This record gives sequence, C-alpha cells and structure tokens, in this order.
Amino acid sequence: MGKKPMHFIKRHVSMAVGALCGICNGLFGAGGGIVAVPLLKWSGIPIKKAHATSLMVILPISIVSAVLYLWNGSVTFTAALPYLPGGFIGAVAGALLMSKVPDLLLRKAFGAFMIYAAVRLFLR
Amino acid sequence: MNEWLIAGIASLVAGFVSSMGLGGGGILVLYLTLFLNMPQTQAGGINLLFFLPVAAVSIFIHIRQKRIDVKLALKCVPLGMAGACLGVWITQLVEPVWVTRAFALLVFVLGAKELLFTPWKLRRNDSNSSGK
Repeated sequence: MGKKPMHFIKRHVSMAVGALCGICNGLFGAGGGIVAVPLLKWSGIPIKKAHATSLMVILPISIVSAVLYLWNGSVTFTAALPYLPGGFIGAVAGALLMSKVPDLLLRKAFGAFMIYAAVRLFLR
Repeated sequence: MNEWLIAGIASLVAGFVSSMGLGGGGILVLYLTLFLNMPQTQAGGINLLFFLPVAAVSIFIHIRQKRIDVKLALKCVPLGMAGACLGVWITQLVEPVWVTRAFALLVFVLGAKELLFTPWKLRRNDSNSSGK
C-alpha cells in the first residue's frame, strides 16, 4: 500500500526530469544535465547510464533553448565558434574513455571547482 | 594567442566532462562569466550552441556502447522543451544579476552535493553501465 505512491512518482519522474532540466537549461543556458542525473538515477537506472542518458534528455531541450537565445539576440553563432573544435575533441575523448576514467575523482574535483566558482560568482 | 590557448583548454575540458554527462556546460559558462566577464545570458547562449555538437557526438558513441536508455530520455523531452521556453521567458523578466545569483546558488548546491555527499565507492549496481 505504502509503496504505491512512490511507484507512481517513480513512473512519472521523467516528467519532473524534463521540466526541471528545461527550466534550468532555458534560464541559465547550463545546469540541466547536473539536475537530470540524480533524478534519472533515482528512477532506478545505473549511475553511468544516468549520466549518458542525461545527454539525450538535454540535447533536444538545448536545441529549443539555443533557437530562443538566437531569436532574442542573446548570442550569435560566431561567438560560439572558437569553443567548438576543443569541445568536439574533448567530447569524443570523454565518451570513448568514459568507462576508464575514475569518474568519482573527477566528480569530487568538479564539485570543489563548482563551490569555488559559485563563491566567486556571488562576489562578482 | 594566450586567450585562444585558454579558450581551447576550457572548451576541451568542458567537452570532455560534458560527454560523460557530468555537467561540463557549467565549466564553460563559469569560464565565460568569471574569466571573460561575459553576461550570464550570453555565456549561457554560447554554452547551448557549444553543447549541440558535443552532445550529438557523445550520444552517438554512448548509443553504440548501449549506455543510453532511449525510451526514458524521450519521455523527459516534451515537458523539457516547455520548461526551456519558460526558462528563457523568465530571463527576459528578471534582472540579469538575479539570474547570475540563482545560477551561483545552483552551482554551489550541486558542487557541495558532489563534494560532500557523493560516496567514494560505487555500489555494484551503479557500476553496471550497460544494463538496465
């Protein structure tokens, strides 16, 4: 009996994942993926699969956000151009090496960097 | 020259971390806002355009390695798109400084979660990346 509401919530967690990721993605232009992973993991899929699946959740959402950002003049294609080659190379390397990279260490380092960056953003 | 080198390193790291679904987009936005003093909306926009090819190539590789739950991902998309429209609309309504502060708060909370509450060892179930 008590399990029923939880089961219902888990079955519909995809809606919450989508809505929260979409709002973060549209509002900040980033952060949707980091919000998606814990929710996807909570829905019952393994952690590495949750990380990979989050990309597929975010891609169509990012397309919508990017079109709207271009539409309202917040950004231009040329502004993003210098970052594409490095990003592409990094993405291929990361996706191929995912199972070999000590991702827990990477997450801890990333977490420390995020706290440092957040404090600097607040003080800006 | 130096600027290009730093931009190259930042985008390489952001692409690497993004492709693993660890939130690399945040790295690029933080680099653009903190080091280049860009407004949040412009940095976010650059990150969105940056993310499209990065995600496409990563998804291609992850699908081949059976790491993506396609059905679950597609279920998240419709409300995600609606949420994105809502998010962009909110950026038009509030002062940019509040968007930056909200982003800083999100980054802080998620950073603290990763650093303090992520266990150092994966459970056996978590380390299984291919099967649902």
